[in-house]
Amino acid sequence: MQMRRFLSRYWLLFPALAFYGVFLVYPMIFSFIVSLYRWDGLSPAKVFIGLRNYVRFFSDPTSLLVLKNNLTWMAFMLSIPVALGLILAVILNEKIPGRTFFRAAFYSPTVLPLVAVGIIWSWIYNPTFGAVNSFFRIIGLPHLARNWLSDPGVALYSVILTGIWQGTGFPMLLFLAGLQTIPKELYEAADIDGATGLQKFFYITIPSLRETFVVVISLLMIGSLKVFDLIYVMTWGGPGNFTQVLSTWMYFNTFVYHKAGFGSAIAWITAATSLGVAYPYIRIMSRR
Amino acid sequence: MKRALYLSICCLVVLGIVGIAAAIELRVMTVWGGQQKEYLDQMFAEYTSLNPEVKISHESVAGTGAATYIEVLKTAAAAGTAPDVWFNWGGELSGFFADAGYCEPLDEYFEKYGWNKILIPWTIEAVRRNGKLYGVPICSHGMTFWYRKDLWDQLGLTEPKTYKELEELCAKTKAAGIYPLSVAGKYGWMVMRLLDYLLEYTAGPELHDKLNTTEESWDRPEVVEMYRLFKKWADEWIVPGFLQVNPDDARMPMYQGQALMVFEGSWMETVFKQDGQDVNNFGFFLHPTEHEPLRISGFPEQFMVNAQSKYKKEALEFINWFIQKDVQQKWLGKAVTSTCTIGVYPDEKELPNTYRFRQVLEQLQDVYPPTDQAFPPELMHKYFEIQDSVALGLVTPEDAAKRMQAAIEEYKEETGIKVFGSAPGMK
Repeated sequence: MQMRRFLSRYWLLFPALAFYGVFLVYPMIFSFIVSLYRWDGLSPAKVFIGLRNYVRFFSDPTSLLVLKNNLTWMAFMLSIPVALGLILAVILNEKIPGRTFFRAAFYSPTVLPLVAVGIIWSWIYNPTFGAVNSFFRIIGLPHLARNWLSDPGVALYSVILTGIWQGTGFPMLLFLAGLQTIPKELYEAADIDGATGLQKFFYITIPSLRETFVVVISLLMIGSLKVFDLIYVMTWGGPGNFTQVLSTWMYFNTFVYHKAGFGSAIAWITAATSLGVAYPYIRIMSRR
Repeated sequence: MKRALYLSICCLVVLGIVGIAAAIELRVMTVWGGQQKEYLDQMFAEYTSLNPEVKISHESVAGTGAATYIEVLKTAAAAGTAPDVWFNWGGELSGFFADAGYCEPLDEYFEKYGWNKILIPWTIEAVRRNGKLYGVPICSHGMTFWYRKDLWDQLGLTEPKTYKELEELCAKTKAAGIYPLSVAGKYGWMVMRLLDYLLEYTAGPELHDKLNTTEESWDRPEVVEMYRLFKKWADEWIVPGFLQVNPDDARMPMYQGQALMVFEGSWMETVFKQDGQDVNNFGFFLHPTEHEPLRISGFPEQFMVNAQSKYKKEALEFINWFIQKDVQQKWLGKAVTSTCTIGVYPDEKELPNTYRFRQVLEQLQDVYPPTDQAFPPELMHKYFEIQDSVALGLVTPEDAAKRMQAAIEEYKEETGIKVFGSAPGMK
């Protein structure tokens, strides 16, 4: 009887486990094995080279630039969308006219396909007929017009700006949800004690949203390391390799340069970096 | 009961035999979509009507050009599900599949079917890899300068016969407030076309071929001169900000009258027509190289046969029918936008430039390939990186030539390849 109950529990888990094993665990293990080889991903010949693909990544200037670009992306995405999202959530949590419209308006970029966002913003940034340079010319500031996506000094930041525009709605939504869970009595008590708006914000709102912060920041961290679509569509990693990020670099090496081994190593480095960055943060915040 | 069972079994056996004798499905993959795909489906249905035992299943990976098609094909090949016949470009874009053993060598069939006699000779040589033929050329393209006739006439320009005359043309155009050239730098290959032309001019045909096969070093004066001339074009004569422009947007400045020319291919008149432009307002001239014979950038596209296909005979018969003159003539401008078959022309009144370009392509003795078909993809990205760096002023032309040679040597050391296999220099 006990055995039957034991088996029935795990029997119910089996379909999900099987799916997980086939579509997640097996590809992960296989890609790690591939990362230990020099292989073009197609021909039967594979050469075992151990960890040389990993060593190569950390000694290749382009790969290190790629890692730096992802960390730059992360720094911007962890600061601006989080701050903007929180401010928008606090404002749109109040009963103001048009609240529903504004919530939808600020959230709508999040639901747009990233490829569409990339194409639209590529046109906005077009040096000849794009909205940005045309605006500067119209208002009499033509010297501010730039080659937004082909100037190595600004290309990555131009794409980051697009990422911020697209990615602020999601933190806003999560913070809005989090704000609903804060008891009103806390604010009423603070009012009685004569607290100012800023004091309520820093001493009630932010501490009460701690768990929401954990979710938002860990998702943004992982998302920053996985960014692909916007870079691929807007700059294709260029000019040169100035805007390459881990995902696009992995893609180019695996599918364009026919270096499946090195591409797989990049994938594992990306995964390890995500774990290394997000996991400690979640652990620390969970303990508090 | 027993009789009913016996009859049922007999029916099943008969149906099975009929099934076996019924049409085989020949899978053909192309990169063409939209209306062209609809015409191709009609064309393939016509083949089936003539050959009822063969049904063509047309699989299309359209809209992405070489960016995604090759990866889709590669994934299918690795999974053992590659089609029987597939479209491919030439050179290193397709060489990978031949080298990995996925393409059937076709040399004997060129003799057997007489393809040597009906196809433009340079297109056959252009699909040769390491001495063997792994594909049948089906489309031929050339690339050169296309211009707006109204602006051209307004400026009183004449076709340049030397590079100096071309420079004078550009200077005159720029002085009139119009940029001589509009190109798109995103993905790198459109700007590469200009560099290819400049290299043909500075190095000449023989050295250009040897540079493509890397038999000669890129760290040399002719290459430095190419980069120097390119820098001049980038600084003075190309619409600014071109490095971030998408290839589909490259012709917009020309349509808007901000640029005089684009560097495009023999297919361009069809594009003008689709864009709603008056085709009579455009013309082309063959870029002057000051070398004999005159070569332009040219490349074929081909059908390749899966070495693991169960229907190789049917595939070859289909390709043989596809490239016949009467078939190509019937479907030109609809299912096929270009051809490698000799003597096939569009309507001269409807597409006058295309008609003229087809004559040029047939008469050419030789072409130089686009560098992205001569070099493997990884090396091409180094090439594009250096190209962009020159345009941005981040490296000098001398440094660019050194870096290119260093990238070639590094690639050859890593892969053990001594020369590259597809460029005409390997004949």
